Amino acid sequence: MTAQKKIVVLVGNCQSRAIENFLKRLPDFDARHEVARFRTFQVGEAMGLSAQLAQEKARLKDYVAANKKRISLFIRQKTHGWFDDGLTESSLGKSTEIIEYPACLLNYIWPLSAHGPDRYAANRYQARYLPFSIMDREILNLREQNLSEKEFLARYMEIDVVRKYKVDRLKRLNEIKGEQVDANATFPIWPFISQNMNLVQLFRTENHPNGPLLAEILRQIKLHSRTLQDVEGYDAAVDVMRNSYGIGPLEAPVHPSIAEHFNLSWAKDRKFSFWGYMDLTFEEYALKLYRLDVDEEYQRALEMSKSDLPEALKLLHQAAARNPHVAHFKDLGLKWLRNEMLRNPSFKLAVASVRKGEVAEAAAFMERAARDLPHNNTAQEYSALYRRRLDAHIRKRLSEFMEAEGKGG
Amino acid sequence: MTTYADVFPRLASIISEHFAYDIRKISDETTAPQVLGWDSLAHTIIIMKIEDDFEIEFPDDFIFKVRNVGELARKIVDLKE
Repeated sequence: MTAQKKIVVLVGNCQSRAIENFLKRLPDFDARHEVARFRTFQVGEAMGLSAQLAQEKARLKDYVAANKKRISLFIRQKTHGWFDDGLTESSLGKSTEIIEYPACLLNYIWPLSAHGPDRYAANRYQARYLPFSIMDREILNLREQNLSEKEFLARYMEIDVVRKYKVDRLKRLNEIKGEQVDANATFPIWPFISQNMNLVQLFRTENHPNGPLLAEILRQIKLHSRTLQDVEGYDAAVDVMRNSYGIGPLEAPVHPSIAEHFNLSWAKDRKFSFWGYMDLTFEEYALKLYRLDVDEEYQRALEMSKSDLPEALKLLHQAAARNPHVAHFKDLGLKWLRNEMLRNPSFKLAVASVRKGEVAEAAAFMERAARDLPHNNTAQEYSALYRRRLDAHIRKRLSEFMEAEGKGG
Repeated sequence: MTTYADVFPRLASIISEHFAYDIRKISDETTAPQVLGWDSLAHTIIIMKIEDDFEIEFPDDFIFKVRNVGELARKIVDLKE
């Protein structure tokens, strides 16, 4: 009889999800363990998910009770103490290892962040859809003054962010929090953050660690765990993580004066990734936010694209009509383009021509199909970004048809 | 002399404005998790706003151990003395 797999339980936010993904991708670990992850953390509370989190706590409690003997490792994200998962050591089996890793959240290099419900109207839907997870409170204020983009940028860059937002005090508050969380965790992380903050990018946003920081968390977790000691490939995967971009494609831009004040060498004179497909200078990023390039319909469409693409596409078109500068989300954009192409009569004619062996006509229909994409801003910008990839995709599809039909040449 | 009665309404007003939270719901027993958006990062910002407004500086060992709005108000009274 095959032995049942041992279980590793993870409790925490997206940082725990990153650990879950890391472990699941290790074949040796995956062959011997199952992973169960539960969310009980402060950002969820902040997003108004209290009811769901209460259910999640109950689900965790039931799960642990039902699987007590199989849980070999319990990895909990440790926060500063306002939120807990409701489990005590006695809830777990005697042989279960418990590792509490410090939650990594830091905001002193982003003092302008309007993350979370604040006093701004835009946050009403930020709370729900997070379209402005990197929104900036000064930009929101300046938007109310109906400035031209040039005036906005001049006014915005004149703000003495370091003094106005007392970033040294904010840094101290971050340190106090970090040290307190460390004191209650299995291992500290703040010393690593303090020592490396100037030299290496450790955070992509306030609550998204970059590769080097995630790698350090993973290294420490293994160091303190018997269960993970003999997992083949663990250390090599940590090295890969160290050179990756950690969690999420989004990168919050660091204000040039903040980079200078804290001597953040990695943040000076560089561009920041916007959802992983576009790199922008701080000023370009600020303009994008000023234009509200990510709007509500887009955000809802992004969410909806996972479950209902036709409805998502409707929203996408509404967003394009309302805001000619709408932002693009790589995956959604590609799905949308693909969908548009598949519905495109010219593309269908191109395929039909290929089937008949009419290669020249097929190529002409294919060109027309690419040209016929809707001529709104979104389509045009997407096509500029992805035209080559799309053309290559279509040509590949055509050649596959030709080969399958034995009419290649 | 600054009293609790002086401090509490001002403190409640700062919290209410910052989190767009109904001021009538704020009592001395209100805790951070009850207020939408009051997570640990927002806590650093609200603490700075309170420090600015009352011209005080909270001691390090108090800032993340405070349990409710009443404790915050009482600490402000102490620091103003």
